[in-house]
Amino acid sequence: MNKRLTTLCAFSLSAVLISGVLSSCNIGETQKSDSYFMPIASYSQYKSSGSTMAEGCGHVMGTDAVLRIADENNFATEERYNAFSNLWEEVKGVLLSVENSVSATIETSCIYKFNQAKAGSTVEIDETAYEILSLAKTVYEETDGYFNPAVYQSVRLFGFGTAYYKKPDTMPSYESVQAYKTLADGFADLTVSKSQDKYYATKPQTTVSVDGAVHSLMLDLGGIGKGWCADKINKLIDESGFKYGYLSLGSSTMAIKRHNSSDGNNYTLSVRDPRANGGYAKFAVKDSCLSTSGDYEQFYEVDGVRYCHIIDPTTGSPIQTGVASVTIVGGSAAQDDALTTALSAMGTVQAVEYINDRLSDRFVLMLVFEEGQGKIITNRPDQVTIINGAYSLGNTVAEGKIVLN
Amino acid sequence: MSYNKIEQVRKTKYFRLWDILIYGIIALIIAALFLVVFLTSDKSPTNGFTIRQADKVVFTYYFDTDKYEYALADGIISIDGQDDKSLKLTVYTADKSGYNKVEVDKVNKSVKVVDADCSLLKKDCVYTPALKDNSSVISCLPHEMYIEPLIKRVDNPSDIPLG
Repeated sequence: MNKRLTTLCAFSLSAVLISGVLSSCNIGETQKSDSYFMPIASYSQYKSSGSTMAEGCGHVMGTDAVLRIADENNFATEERYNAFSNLWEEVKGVLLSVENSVSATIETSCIYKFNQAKAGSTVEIDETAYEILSLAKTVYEETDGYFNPAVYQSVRLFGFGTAYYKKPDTMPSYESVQAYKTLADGFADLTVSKSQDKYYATKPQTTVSVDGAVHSLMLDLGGIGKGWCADKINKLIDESGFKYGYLSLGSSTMAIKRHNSSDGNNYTLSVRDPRANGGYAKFAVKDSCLSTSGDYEQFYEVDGVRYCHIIDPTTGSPIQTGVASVTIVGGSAAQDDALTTALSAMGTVQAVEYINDRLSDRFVLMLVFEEGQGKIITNRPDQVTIINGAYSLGNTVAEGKIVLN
Repeated sequence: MSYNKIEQVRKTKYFRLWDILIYGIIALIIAALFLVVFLTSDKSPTNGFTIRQADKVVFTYYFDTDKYEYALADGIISIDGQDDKSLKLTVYTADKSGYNKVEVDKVNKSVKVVDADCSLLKKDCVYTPALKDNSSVISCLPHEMYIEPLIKRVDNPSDIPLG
């Protein structure tokens, strides 16, 4: 009897798991949120585990979210552990609200509705989307258009933009690339406004025709949205009184607090090597927000040419600048998120000019390839430890400015 | 103590027995210590090594992945050349007044100091056998440089992958 019951339970559990996996594999144009969060350990479970860190994790905004918090007294009292539990609930709330606001694929989000609206129409958006879109406009202007969240259709044209990216059966035509580039250029004309506690975004009038269908500007604020979440959650951690731990969103956007026992309370971050396993360089950091981006996250090769998910707004095609990885530490994670994309599109020389002019207060680390040779570019070489000896430092620093070799 | 007294003591059977016992115990302790040191030393091939100057690790090499790490900016380490079989580097002292030339044998997974300009003419580090297992250390006292086996990479939870 017990054996039959066990078998029945196993079948039921398998059915639930399989249906869960299948339901999460929605690769269509639109979908409902497939976000989930793992339950955190109870206080008694935490104490019996012997762990020194409380952890919450889940999958949201198409990426893995991890919050790890250490307490000065290893959560000696249940009260402190409850403070972590409350913090985790607030963190989940921020992540879900931003996803439901700015997701380009969730039908109920205001950015999805904006994307579906006709050219020239004004769409009511919520406060979160308004703030993120306003910040995106600011960074767009500061980077001369190199950060442009309106390249969404170009991203999709090349087969990217979802977790299940794939190389197109045939590479996009010049006409379609140019058509979507024209739409992205219209981001300069997109306006956001506020009136009596309501927020609006107005689409440019521009339309293009691709394969007989008329298209207007569409947005994807997912990238900068993750950074916006990190900034919010960074404040929540401070307000909850915790000093130790970190938040990671997809291991690419982070709010780093302090390590509770390491030398200098620093965390050591190893930046992923875009061309090999492991990291290519590492650095110590604490009490900072940061972001990293590179051509290794989603890519494929055609005839020896690497096509990645980062679109160069000046060409409407995946970047061919040789910039393989950009990391920015300090300041706002949302800005860092946007700027890593912009610097990737600028190329080495222009990116260095931008760093020298505008990012001297931040630590920037880049890996660029010139004729197959990897060069590390950074404005703080004294903070960098090289991991992959195949790469060498490609610059010096004079009076705080990067000077390329 | 007079000679007669010494002779008297030597002829005392009671004292001779304890004399032998004490020497025996000392010999046993020495043998035991030797066995403990010999049997517990880790002769397994090393996974890599670190080069340390005083208290600071300035270079780390991993044999299994043929990768190395060193601080970019301080100029302590100079990579002089490498191919599939070897890696040559120079380790400068902090004030750049001296150096040790180090050669890594990738095939035999060993490392040795091949030259040094240390103030002592003996150059002990150069004549120390190559480090290839977890029980060896190469040291250059004048330059405070030590090459030590990388016995185990500690899974430090403060290390986070980024990207």
